[in-house]
Amino acid sequence: MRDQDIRELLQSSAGTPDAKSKDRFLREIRKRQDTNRMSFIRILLIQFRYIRKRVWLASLLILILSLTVTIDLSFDRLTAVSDLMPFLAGLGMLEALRADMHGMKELESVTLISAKGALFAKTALIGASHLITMLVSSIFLFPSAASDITTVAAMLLIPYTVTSILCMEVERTRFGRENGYCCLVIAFLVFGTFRMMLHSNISAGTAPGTLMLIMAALIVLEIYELKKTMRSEEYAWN
Amino acid sequence: MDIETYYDKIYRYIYYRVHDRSIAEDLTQEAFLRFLGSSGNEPERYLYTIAKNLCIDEYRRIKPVSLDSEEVPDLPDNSADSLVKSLEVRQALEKLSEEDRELLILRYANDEPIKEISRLTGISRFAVYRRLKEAKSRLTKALGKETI
Repeated sequence: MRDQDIRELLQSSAGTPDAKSKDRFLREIRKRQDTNRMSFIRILLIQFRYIRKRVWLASLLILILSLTVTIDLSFDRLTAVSDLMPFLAGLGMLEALRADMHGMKELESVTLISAKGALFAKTALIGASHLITMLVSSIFLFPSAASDITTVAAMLLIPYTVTSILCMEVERTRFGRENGYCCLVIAFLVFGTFRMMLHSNISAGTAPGTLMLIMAALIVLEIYELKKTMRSEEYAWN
Repeated sequence: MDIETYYDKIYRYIYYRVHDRSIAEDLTQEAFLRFLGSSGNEPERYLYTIAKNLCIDEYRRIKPVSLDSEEVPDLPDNSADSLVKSLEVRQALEKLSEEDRELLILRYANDEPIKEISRLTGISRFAVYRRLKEAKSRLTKALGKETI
């Protein structure tokens, strides 16, 4: 008997396992393996490489601008940093939702970490870097600014959160998905509005308590919008 | 290690020990679940060891089925030819020693290279080659005798 005959005989008489049961089992196993393998840190590191340099450069620019305030004391620098906040937020949102803009969402959805995971990781990375930027900027700006720390924080946080909330709202619409650069348009609009408010002195004299309340409300709204965006990714995936 | 490739191999390895398709499938999945919960330097060897131990446990649990009885073993294909062929193979394999059976299943049913079998069984390549040759001739003889 030839080797080939024995091979055929032994393989055919054992047959093959049930394809459906095998497939179901393998899928289950892979899911478990992937979940174990893909730690959150690894997801973050993967997404970190996909975030374009311009996002980090924008944060760096804000930091440099804030740092110069300590050298040249002037209230206008705070306004300048505050003016840049909507663009920082717009750029961040543009980057986080880039997959939608380039029609890559479907591709991203079938990756190991899913579109929701990728979006979450990107938003977490960009959001964390922006938060650090704002915190460091506030520390640098506070001694030079003619106002209290609440006003400094409000001048940085309010334009940023308003822009990102509006961006997320618009990005969930069909128009927003098809026109990703509308984030930058929103940034311009927010910038213009805040400029007008500063010139007309509408916000002047607002009590720190009121500013704190506004900031808290905006943060809550931002978290809610983020949750909504994440959920919409999940719906799209399912 | 590619689980998909090894799934079929482990299934065949178990099937030739339990001769029941559904039990073989259950034990295959059980073997993989136990295997994935552990870590080792030689995954293939460890997987085969788990499969072997599961088969031993299964032997202890169930009453062995005699081929002389009226009971028809669970076979992958129900056609008369394959039924006869499977019975012939099963009877021939049962006439062989445990070691011969193991070597033949690894080499021919699972297409494992001699080097891999040597690693799995812990015997030298030369010994594997020699014992396989002997096992093959014994199987051919057993199949010749048992041909219906």
